[in-house]
Amino acid sequence: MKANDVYDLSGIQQSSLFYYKSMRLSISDSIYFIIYVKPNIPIEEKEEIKRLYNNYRTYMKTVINYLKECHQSSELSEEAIIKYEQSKEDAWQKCMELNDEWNKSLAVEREKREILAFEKQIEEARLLMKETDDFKREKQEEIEKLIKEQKELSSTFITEENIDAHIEDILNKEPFSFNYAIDLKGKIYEGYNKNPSIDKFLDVKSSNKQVEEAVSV
Amino acid sequence: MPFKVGINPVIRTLKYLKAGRVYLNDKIKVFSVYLNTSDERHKGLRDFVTWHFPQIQYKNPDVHCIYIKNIMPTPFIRVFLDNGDDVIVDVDSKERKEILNHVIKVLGKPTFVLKDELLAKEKKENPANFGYMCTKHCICQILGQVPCPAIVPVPKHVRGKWIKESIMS
Repeated sequence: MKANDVYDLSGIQQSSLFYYKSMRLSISDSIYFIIYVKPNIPIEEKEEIKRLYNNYRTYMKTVINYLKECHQSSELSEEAIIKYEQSKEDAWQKCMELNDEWNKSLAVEREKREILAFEKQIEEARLLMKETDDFKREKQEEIEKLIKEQKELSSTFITEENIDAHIEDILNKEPFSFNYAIDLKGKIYEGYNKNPSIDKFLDVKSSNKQVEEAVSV
Repeated sequence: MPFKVGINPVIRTLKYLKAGRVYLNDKIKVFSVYLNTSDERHKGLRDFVTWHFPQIQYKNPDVHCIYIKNIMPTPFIRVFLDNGDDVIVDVDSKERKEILNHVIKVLGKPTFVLKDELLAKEKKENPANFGYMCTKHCICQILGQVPCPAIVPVPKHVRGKWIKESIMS
């Protein structure tokens, strides 16, 4: 596309590139030979324009200066930045104080709770000790009772000294017969013979005798 | 608990992470939590870690967040600062919400700093803005506006030279 080529874009005629005068060329004649005609304004009017312009200038100056001051104080000035940082630091210090208070209150609560827990532990230990003591005492009493009984019984024990006498007694005694029966009421029904095994033996003998006699006959 | 699929699906969603409220102070570099896995006194901190730890890490990507288990008898939060100091926040037998509010209050950024940062962020992020401290320094860079005459010359009926000529002729 060449310079000053015209093309249509959204209804407005626009050239794609702007024609620039090259640097080596001198000032064009149309500009070089231009004669500016000074406007012929009357003095009164001139003074009035000057006054108005001066007024406008002073107003604008004040407004711009005021805006400058506001901007400096609000954001970008060093003092403002330092102040901002200081306010941040103050807020942090306040937070730390709050945190210290919180920690202290929690420490007090924890101490109380730990004391209570410790007391509870002590009570539990005491209870346990009491229970173990009772258990031990009961056990001891039982043992002592057993020993007492055994001591009482020890008089009837068979020892080396009185073993002969005991044997003699047993030998002298009549043999105990187990040949009996008991009913539900505990009544004892004794057998015909006191020693049934002997009876049986005797019976066998007698039967043999009978057989022999029969054979002999 | 609102768990539906997998392990903690709600906590791991981006929406949940963005909903976090803890913006830690700029001084804080390490955020460490000491807790035990089985103790009534540590229950609040355990809940805090499960629910808010991912949010804190998401909102403060420059802070190193860790939690250490079964080392200390009491639950607490220890924070290391940029100058080497450390701050301890005791949270013995406290509930999740209490811990969260205290952390926001003490370790978080102050409200006026948050406001300023939000404003600056809005200024930066809004594509409609142009000028000083913005991505576009002139309105001519915005699409749909009149472009700079250095790039595309203004139409003739707007230029003074052509207007003058037309009047003279």
